[in-house]
Amino acid sequence: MDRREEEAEDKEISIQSKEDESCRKFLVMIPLDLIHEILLRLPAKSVAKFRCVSKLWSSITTRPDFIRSFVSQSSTRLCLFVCVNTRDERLSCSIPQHENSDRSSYPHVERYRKNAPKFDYHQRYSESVHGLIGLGDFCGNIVVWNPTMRQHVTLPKPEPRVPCVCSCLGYDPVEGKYKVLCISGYRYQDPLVFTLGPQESWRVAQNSPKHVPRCTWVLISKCINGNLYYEASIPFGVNDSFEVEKVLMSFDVRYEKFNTIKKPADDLLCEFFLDYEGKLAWVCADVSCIRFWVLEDEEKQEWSLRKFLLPIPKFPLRDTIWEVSWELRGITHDTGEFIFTDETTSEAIYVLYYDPKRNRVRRVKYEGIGGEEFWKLNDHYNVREVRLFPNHSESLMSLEDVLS
Amino acid sequence: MSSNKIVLTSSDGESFEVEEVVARKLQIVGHMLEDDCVINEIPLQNVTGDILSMVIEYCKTHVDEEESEEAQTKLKTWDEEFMKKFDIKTLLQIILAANYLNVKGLLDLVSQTIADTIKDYTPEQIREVFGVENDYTEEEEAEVRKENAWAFDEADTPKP
Repeated sequence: MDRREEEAEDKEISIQSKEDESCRKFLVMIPLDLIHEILLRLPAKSVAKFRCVSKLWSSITTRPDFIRSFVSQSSTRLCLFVCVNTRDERLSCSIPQHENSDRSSYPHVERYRKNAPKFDYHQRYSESVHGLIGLGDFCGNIVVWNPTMRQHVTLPKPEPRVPCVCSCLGYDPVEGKYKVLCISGYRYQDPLVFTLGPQESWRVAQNSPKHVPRCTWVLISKCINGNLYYEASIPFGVNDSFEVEKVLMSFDVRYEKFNTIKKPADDLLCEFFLDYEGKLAWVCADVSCIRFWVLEDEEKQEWSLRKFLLPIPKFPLRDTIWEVSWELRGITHDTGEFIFTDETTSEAIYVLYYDPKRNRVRRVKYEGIGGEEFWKLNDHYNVREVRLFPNHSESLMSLEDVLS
Repeated sequence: MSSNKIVLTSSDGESFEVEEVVARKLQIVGHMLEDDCVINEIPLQNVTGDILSMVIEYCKTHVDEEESEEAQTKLKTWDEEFMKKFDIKTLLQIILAANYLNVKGLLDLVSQTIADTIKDYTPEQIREVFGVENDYTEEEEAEVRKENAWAFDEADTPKP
């Protein structure tokens, strides 16, 4: 009891007195689990900076369980990640999707003159999968990029050799592992899997059904709750000839199991998936409304149709205020708003968020990227492309030891 | 039922009379009440009066958390204003109290506020505020800084 009273006195002092020594005496008592909770809520950059505080702080934030928790914590701070490629440099920037985000911490622009993966025209991008972006081409050059930590890694060429490589990036939230799935888009052969981490290599995925992914221009895949979805063809024999059935494939990233799902019966399905309330949604080409099928139950292969009014009542979606045309890019994971962006102008980034439940539209114009001077120097010929990645979050997944 | 009053006493002897529903927001009190339902005075030995009064202020405001969007927004604004009052040293005492008294909502709120407050600190400032000893050798520290060099780069911060 006496000791407790003494401690209480210490606390008193530390509130009222500015004397360093008493503060220190009191503050060392902050338990580790609370330090852990605070660190989880920091931006990735601060976490990395504070690895220099002490060995203990460094060990807390480099542990796999911290990195996994950080991924899920940072998915509550979603951003629209913008990447502008010019002839000489790449600019990227994270714009918060939330309406009332803290403006002092975001957005920030990162200039990459070096240490960024080379983007070529023949390379395809994945979505942002919990902070990481996959790039790949048909020849098997696969790059995984963590823009937060400014790291990227080129994976070894898939072995055994795969003709016409289709690759996609997935994340298993249970074990906190990122994996790349590699399938031939030319003929059936066993798919390969690469787990990002030290001492890993390509492994053959067991027991996959015979299938060839639909990979006309790019393999469109979507990773939701540890499942990767993509469209594929399954060959089957009819009399003496072969026919193909088009299906949706799902790949369980954790257990590496494939599942075949019947497509919804709709002629207007296009190559575009959404994450709708944590479920896969397959978008239809429809000019009169936003229309998609939601995979309600993977086991029972049940789809349900959803329809929403367009934010602007007629097609094409020319904005009523700005000189821009909107194109649907995704749905915010947390607030369920449709994200529309404009791809025609490049001087600024225009975004329209449309909340169908409240029938509310908000427009965001972001001119910060690069500044005026940048755009003066970089006209339309110089700016090669502007890429947008909705629902991007920060990841502390280090790619440095992937090939060690 | 809720008109029952409970007296909470801090380590430095300050007493607070609160409604039972408010006191129950402190899970430590909730558990005590379940164990023995006749208590009406509870000593809380690990928290001082000035900090306890802040915790109680939080609990009173959050006593009936309505589902409606409007109520949620109002609470959020209140939380933000409430947290603005405190400096880092007080915040660290509130987090200790929220942890000891087991007030989940406040623990989340104050953890986030501390994170927002310290995010631009230098490692040296962190050591001072958290009372952490630097156990790196000079070479080791230089190495860790090199590994995390990206975190020390000043990014362009244009106006939104």
